[in-house]
Amino acid sequence: MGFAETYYHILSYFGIAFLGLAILVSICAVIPACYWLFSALSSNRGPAVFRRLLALVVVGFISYSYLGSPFFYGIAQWRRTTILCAFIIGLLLPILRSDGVRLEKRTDRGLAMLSGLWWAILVLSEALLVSGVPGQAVLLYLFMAVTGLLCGAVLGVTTARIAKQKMVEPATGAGGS
Amino acid sequence: MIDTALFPRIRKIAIWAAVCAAAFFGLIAVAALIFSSGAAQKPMTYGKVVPRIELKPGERKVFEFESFCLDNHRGSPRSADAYSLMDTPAVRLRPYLGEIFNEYLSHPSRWRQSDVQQAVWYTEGHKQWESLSADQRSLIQTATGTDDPVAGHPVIFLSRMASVFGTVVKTNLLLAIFVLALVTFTLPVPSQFLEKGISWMVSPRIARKAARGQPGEIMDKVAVSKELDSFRIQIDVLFSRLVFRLFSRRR
Repeated sequence: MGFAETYYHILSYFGIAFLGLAILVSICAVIPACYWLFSALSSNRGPAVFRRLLALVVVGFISYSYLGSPFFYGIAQWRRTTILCAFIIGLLLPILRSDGVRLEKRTDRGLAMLSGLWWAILVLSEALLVSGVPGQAVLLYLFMAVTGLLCGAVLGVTTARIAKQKMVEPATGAGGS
Repeated sequence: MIDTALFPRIRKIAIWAAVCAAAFFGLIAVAALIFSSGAAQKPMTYGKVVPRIELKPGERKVFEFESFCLDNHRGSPRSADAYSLMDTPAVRLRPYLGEIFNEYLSHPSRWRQSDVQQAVWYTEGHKQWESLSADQRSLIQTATGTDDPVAGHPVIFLSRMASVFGTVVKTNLLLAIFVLALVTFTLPVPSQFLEKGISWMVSPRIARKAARGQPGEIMDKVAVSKELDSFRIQIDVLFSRLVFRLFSRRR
């Protein structure tokens, strides 16, 4: 063996150890990540707009990064259309139902459930990937649909709450004077 | 406000990390130099049989190539995908790949392309020695000088491990880091969420220690910083104005 081969040979033993450690850490990290995502998305307290816009970026980026992995190359070629359609549905539904928004609610159960579903499908898909299941087009389409719905709903719910505030404010002002 | 007392500490950690990394890779390089110094290397002859391609400006030449797929687990290319001719680091980095190409290019009439393709995929570590045909085994044996050379090879084991778990590890770690940042930047007392999140896995004492110790303190300090607060409020106001404008038009 030459120098380079021997160097990679020795380095790879450390690489195996580090990767093994990273696998363990990543398995442990994904559990609290679910709770943190759940809490951040569902809370209506404080600066909810900033929080939800940031959450939308995080969910979008993670989904894009996962779906773009070489394993899924060529699978589920209608991904953009699926995500876009689901996003539009997720965005419009809460806005159209903005009359029913209750501003006093401190948490949003719908967003929490959608984020839980998104996380569960992601973890299931990862488990199938590791176990070597050849294609998982149906699950990937489901994942894309839930990603689009979640991103749309995050934006839609935020917009609907602000719109409801806009509707309530003049009425409250009229009542007060 | 960002704590300026942290900067010298971060600089110290960065310097120590760089020194440790240099020492680690340097020691491995020394060990590799010692182990490889007496070993004889098999010379590669394929450079002599592969023509050197040189083009003058405006010149056009047509070549016919035999191509091989290096990664069996990846999807097939689509018809619209563009191809480009380039050097691949796999020949240097993946063990036995160079030897197999060298054997094939040195004796192209002796081996079939399909057998070479199977041998290339074998170097990836996803194919069992027993599943190969006699010709394929013979090609690998002639090229590398041993039977089943991939078995137990740490570089191939690592690459197989990375190809299977790499995506999962990357996704999970990115998710955890980004969501923790989301909690830190957007929720009122992030250390509480840190404690509740990890208390599912570790004992309550360790969770409390992490949340009330330095990590939790730093998170809480970041969460209450004035700059971040004004930025959050600005985003809220801007978005609210946008929605107000959209809805007042609808009316």
